Amino acid sequence: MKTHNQKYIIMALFTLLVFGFSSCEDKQPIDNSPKTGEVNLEFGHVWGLDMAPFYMNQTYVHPMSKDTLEINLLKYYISNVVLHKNDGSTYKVPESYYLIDPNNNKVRISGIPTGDYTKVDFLIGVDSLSNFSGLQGGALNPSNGMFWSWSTGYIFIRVEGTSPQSSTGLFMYHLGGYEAPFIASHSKSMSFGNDILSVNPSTSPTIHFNVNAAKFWHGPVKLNDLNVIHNISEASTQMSKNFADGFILDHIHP
Amino acid sequence: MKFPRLLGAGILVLLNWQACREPQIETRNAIEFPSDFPPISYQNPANPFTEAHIALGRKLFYDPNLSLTRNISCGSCHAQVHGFADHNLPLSFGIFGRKGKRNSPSLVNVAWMPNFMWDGGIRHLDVMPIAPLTDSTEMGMTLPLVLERVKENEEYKTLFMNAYGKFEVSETSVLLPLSQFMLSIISDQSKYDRVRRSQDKFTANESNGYQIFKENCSSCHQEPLFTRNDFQKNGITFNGEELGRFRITQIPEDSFYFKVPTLRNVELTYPYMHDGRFRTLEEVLEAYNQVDRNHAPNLPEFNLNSIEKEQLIAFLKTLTDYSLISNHKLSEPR
Repeated sequence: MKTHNQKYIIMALFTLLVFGFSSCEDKQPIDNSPKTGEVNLEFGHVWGLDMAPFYMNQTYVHPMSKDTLEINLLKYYISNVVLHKNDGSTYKVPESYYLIDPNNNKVRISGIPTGDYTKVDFLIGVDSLSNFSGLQGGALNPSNGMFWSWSTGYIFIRVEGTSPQSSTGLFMYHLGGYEAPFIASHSKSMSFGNDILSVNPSTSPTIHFNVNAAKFWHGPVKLNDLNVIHNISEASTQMSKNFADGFILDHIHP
Repeated sequence: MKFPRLLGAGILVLLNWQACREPQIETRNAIEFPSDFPPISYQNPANPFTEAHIALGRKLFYDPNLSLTRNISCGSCHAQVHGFADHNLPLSFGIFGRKGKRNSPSLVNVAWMPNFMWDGGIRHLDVMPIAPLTDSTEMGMTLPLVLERVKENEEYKTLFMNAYGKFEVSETSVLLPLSQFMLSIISDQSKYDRVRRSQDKFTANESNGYQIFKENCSSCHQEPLFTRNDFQKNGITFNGEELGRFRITQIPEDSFYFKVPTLRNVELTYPYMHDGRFRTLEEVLEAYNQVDRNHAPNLPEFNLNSIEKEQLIAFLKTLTDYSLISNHKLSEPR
């Protein structure tokens, strides 16, 4: 009996072995009808209360501080995108880390389950875990100029430029920080109101945001008082919050 | 007779299942961590240890082309003969003879370190080299320039082929082998270790020194790594520049806290402290004798006479690891 049993076991294992090898071959997608679609995020940059179009390397007068300034570099991270369906379910976009600047302000996200969406959440900045998970690629590649080498973590928002009101003629704000009390990442949750973002395989709808660059100096922050931030601080946390407050949902483009 | 056959078939099934999951060429773990040490801190499942990666990392570690002026390598300030600390300089020199602000710490046993630098600002070994590579007083590079310098050097071709099967230079393909080489710098063969493993005996002096060590030093310099890799304020006075941990946390209470260094190979790594202010172990012990306790909240009762100091130093010298400093696998490749 014993010997018999063992023969069966060996045969079973052999069968497993054979099937195991066949499983090494490329798996064919079983489902040929895609049930996903894509969504675009577009960040339009504006200036001031009247939401005038914003351009890099152009001189502006700040509406509150009255300082004259020109932005030569503006980059920031958008991460952890979550889409909410009208049935209450959510879709968390995996590995969603995007580096945005006024000239690279569109993100295409594919693989989103079809359906009607009513709200989007995202983080301005990088979640705390990804700040100290070691070396990463894509948007989080440390070669992108958004990584603090001496103190692990990303620069979430980087804005640099010139101003005659600054004592050095320059300003340079590197805003980051992922641990209390100096957290420079800010989560946003934006409802589409009466609009519906309809995702299906044949369309490519866009969510348009407006990002108000003047918000950095909201308060007002005078360039005479503050022209450099290169570490975590209260000022960094406040300035990043100001910037995050300048994000609004403009419209949905079907 | 039947059972081994059964086992064999089972193993084959398992092996083939594994083969489907991991298309790895070499699966043998090329770094052996001492079994009588605590578990290592380093974690990166995407960086399996192989001889080929370590060999590539070793070449990179000793390559002066990775500095702007092509004369400073990692090994310039982390010298094997000095337990992978600097050549007994208080502060290290970088490109154009620029003087740094801190004493280069030893790189032994980085596998157990959860953070790096005197202020602990860096929290993963894989990104640690970015700091010295890109610092303007150290190697003065940018990461893209580092990659260029590797790409242009034909000597790397074979090393990359062996490690990756292709000569593809990226942040990952450069920094992960560097981590592997540093992880292979393990110090566990000192006389202290032999005594601990019952293969040797302390002299009377060393033995007394060990007792003094346990009473006065071991709470921070915890065995067997001789550090807990935490931060302590040890009473040394402000040098006008360095606030230690505060730089990272921006919390005023963290001022003057520095990472506790290992005491392994301490005989070789002089001068001491973050700015290399003490040239000898005698000076260090005397400083602890006279410390202002308000600025050293966790320092145990520390009042050693000259005989006790001598005995303690005799013990500290048993932490010198001669097999580490003579290990050809860790030396500059020729």
